[in-house]
Amino acid sequence: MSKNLKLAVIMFAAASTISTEAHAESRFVTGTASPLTATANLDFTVTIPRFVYVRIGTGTDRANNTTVDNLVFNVPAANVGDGTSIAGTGGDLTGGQVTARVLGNNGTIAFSSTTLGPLNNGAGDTISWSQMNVAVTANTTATALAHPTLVDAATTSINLTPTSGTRVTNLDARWTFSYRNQTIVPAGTYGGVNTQNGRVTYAVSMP
Amino acid sequence: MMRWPIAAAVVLGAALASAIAPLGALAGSRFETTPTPSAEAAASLDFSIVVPKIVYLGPLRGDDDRDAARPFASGKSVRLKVREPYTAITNGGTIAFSAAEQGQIRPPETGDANVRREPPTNRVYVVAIP
Repeated sequence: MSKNLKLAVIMFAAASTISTEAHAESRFVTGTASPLTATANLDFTVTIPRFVYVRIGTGTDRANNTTVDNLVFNVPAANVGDGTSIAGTGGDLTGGQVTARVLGNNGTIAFSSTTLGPLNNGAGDTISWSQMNVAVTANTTATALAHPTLVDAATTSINLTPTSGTRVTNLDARWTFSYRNQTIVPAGTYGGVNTQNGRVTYAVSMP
Repeated sequence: MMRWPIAAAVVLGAALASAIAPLGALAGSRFETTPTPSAEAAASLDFSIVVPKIVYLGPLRGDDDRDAARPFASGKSVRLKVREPYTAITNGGTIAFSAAEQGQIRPPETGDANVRREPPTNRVYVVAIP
């Protein structure tokens, strides 16, 4: 037998073995025993991908959504800098209120907020992010998702420990933003849609 | 057939692109399932604070709600009634404070219940800000 023929025979035999093991199980039993029994087995495999999800404002559950909400705070002339809290407009829940949710299945999640700097009006005047207040209220989960403090030109991070078992984290909340309005600032529009440092980026990182 | 160095570069480039693209895209919600070595996602929120230009002349604010700050348009002037002592507030720059039209307010006509009688020290000033 040539060398190539031997190799072909070996490969065919190996393939035959694999093919047999891949077949579903069946049993055929005969005899006089009573009862006469036969068993067959079936295996199950459920595959869960590792995932992490963050939603701030308008979003789609466990899917990407490109909408970025814009929260607008119009200060009445009679209240400029007098300490009267100014409610916002906009947000998926309206009135300056947004849905916030973090979901992941592989351990503690680092949840952060990042600003590029204080809000500015394009004319050299600024409003610190410390003037932006956020009230956190429960939404659907027993524990409300905390808000990472907004700091000018910085990233602040909090750790979200698993809420179920040792690796699953599921937290949401309603965040209501308001402008503290504690100082008289020059007129203008501070921040905006991805301009004049008006954008906050919330990020999650999971092992 | 593609040579090995080129093929390796193509595979490496595709891997880098797939790893970087999800992190660069910011949105309202983000769902990540296949990152390595850590899973990362980001969402964003925009903020706008609109502050009008105002001018105010009057008692210390809060003492008398008749003297609320008033919105002010650039290039215009506004007449404000003040009592002494008073404070001046604006967020629009240097105030041009004119006494040219200073004068006593004439007491309201008798019988007009809707007009409050003001002390004779009241003045009308014209102010202008840039």
